[in-house]
Amino acid sequence: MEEEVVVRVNNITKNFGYVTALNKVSIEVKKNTIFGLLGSNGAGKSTLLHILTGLLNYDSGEVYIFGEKIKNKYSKILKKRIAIVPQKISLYDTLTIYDNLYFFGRAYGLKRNQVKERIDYLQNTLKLGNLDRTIRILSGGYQQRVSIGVALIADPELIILDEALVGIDIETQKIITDLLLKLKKNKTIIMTTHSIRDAEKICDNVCFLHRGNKLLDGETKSIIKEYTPEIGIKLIVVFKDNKSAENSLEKLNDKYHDDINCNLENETLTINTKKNVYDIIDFLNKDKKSRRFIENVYIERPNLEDVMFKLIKPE
Amino acid sequence: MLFTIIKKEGKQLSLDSGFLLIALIQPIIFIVMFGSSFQSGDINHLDTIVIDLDNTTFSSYVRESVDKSEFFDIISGEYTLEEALLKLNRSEVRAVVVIPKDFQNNINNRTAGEIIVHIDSSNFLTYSSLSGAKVEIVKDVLQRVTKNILGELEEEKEEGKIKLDEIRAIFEEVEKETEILEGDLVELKRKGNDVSEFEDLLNQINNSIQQEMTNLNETEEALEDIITAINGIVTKNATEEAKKQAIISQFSSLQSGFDDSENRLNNIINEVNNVDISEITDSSLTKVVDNRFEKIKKLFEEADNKSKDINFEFEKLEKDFLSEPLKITEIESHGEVKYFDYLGAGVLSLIVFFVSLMAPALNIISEKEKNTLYRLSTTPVSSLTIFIGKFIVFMIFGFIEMLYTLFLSVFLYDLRISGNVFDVIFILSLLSFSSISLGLFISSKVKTMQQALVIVPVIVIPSFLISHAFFPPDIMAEFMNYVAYATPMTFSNHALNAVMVKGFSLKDVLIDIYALTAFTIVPLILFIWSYKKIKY
Repeated sequence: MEEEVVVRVNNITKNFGYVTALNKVSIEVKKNTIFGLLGSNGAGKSTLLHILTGLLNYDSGEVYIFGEKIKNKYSKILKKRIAIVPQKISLYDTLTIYDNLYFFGRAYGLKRNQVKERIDYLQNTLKLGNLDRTIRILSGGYQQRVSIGVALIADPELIILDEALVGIDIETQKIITDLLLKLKKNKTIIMTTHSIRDAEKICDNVCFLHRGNKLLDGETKSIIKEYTPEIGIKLIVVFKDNKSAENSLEKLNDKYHDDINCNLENETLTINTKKNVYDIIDFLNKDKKSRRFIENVYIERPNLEDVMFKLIKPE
Repeated sequence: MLFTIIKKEGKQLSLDSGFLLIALIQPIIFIVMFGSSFQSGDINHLDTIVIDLDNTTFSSYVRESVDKSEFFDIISGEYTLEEALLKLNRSEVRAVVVIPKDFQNNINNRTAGEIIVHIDSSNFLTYSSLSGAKVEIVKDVLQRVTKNILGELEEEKEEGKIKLDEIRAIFEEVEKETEILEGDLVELKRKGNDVSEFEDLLNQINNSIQQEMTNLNETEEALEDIITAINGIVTKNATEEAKKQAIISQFSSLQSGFDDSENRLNNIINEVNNVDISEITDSSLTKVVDNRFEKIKKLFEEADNKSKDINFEFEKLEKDFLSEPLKITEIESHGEVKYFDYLGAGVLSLIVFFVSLMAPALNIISEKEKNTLYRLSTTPVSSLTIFIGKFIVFMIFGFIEMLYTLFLSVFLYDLRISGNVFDVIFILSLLSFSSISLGLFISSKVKTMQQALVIVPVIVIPSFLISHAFFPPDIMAEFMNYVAYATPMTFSNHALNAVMVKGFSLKDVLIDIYALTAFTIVPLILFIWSYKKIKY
């Protein structure tokens, strides 16, 4: 099973003077998965990422990528297997999209025709449009697409993304998310993000860091299940008006008593319950007065955000 | 709102510690560099060799004058003319003063003693200064030489005075003769002779004697005045050309006085010659009167001759006074060098240095700021390959820029290139490469564009100031001449000046070539070494 682990970090510690940026952190990233490094600012995500990208040395512990122990630099072979998407758009802004893709393709050691093939592929996949546009005239979302294109130009096995979904438009976000989900079939992806919802959507495994310490890591779904057993499903019912919402609340309390925990704000009724929510929906549906006034119904399950709030209690 | 903007800008600025540090250091560097480069304020105390081939009193005056002048510093040691000129050619000394053989003899013979001053014309500023300084030397030597000449003039004056006294004595004798003649005429008149014509002539003679006596006194006074005036020039009481002109005018009035005197004397002589004594009946007295007139005539003739003689003496005195006892010949070591030609090497170096330093430094810092360098470093391309690639591109860029600058200088302003133009291109190329290396090294140490824009002038401007392009090494503080070797511009300026102005070839500037090569290699090694430590 050892070969399935692409990245193994064992008890690494990194200090900046008196500040401990990482304290005996260990993670494992399995092949063909998307691994999310989560945490608030100053958690140690960037430090860990810089160590993984070979830019930063660490004080103690071990880091293995594709079985190769790294200290502060990748070997040339390793560099060919890994691509990085920096948080900052790191492109030659006076050059065109094509020039950037071509240059980095060649920098990764691809032959001319290989680069051209990859550019064609990325142009379609990332919907890059006209490749003759210079980077500086592109919007932030387009620039991020090109940045990811540059990372993918050499078809790497491991892709490391640093806040790649931050500050981009919804369309680009969807294109990138879809692409990452598609890519994980034959690649391994590590990403840092502030957006817990994004991570939950696309990460198979996550690791929570807080002030240089690992709080927990594991499979995303398991973590939610394990860490939020007491949190039931959240049913949100939006009524046409407050009066009908109040009527329905009264009926629900009569029916379910302590099995539900309700909160009414204007015309929105939020119901927390461990019972089957579909029974509750059926109940409301059967009541004609309620049914007539319901505009929308949402179901929310416990998520990583709940886990994070549970792990990191506000000070 | 304005206050808020000011507060924010101030806070931002105060938080950039690197920028603040450079801004703090920058004025210190500029002021120290400028102050120490121009320490003496004037261009003087320039190393000079004096070669005395005459070894006489007058030649020692020249040596002493050169030594005394603040413009020259005579360096110790014995040098042949060839050795001295070789040193001058290499700008190891700025002037070679040669006093040829027969210097003193020529002065004494009034054929002008020559001083030959070879001046290093490759440095326009020192050249201009020395070219002006030679006038001071001539003046000083002239004063001392003229003192000797003055002795001779005094002797000539004394001779003149003796001659004047002799003339005065003749006229006194004429006066005596006229008194006797008057007695004779009284006797003749008593005997019934008509002597009115003789009486008129006698009156004319008496008047003439009075005039000549006055003239003699005036001449003597004028002679004294001339000597005093010449002495005044020697003792620096009167050096102006106007004084000299006044003396010349005295000589002129003396001359006309002599001319008038000669005319008067000739008239008297003619009158005496025309005296008709045939009408005098008393033959015993006739003979006496005739003899008296004859004697007076002879005395006048003698006075006239003496007067001519003394006039000749005055003409000699005037000639001695007016003749220039010294002449100075200036020989420029490398012909006439214009200020633009002199500055040309420095300006070319400055442009090439600045552009070649700035371009790679800003390029890399820009890449650091845009993060592209970091991204590139994550690709399999080695850092060495990245920077060799950059170095080659900037080398080509620097080379083209250098050719372009050179082309503009030569074709627009006719910049002098006495040596081989390819040697100039080679030296400038080396400077360009060393600047690129330095620029790359700076880029590894500087974090932001703002810091780069502050630090580059901190390097470029003092480099220009201390690189002997603007201020000659002769006037710079001694320690600053050592500091100057810390910039490649000093070596490029030296080599370019040698090739462009002196017409030297590369083999003559090998040390500069080696230094520029070292300035290319060392920063490049340091850059590659420090690149490993670049923090993204």
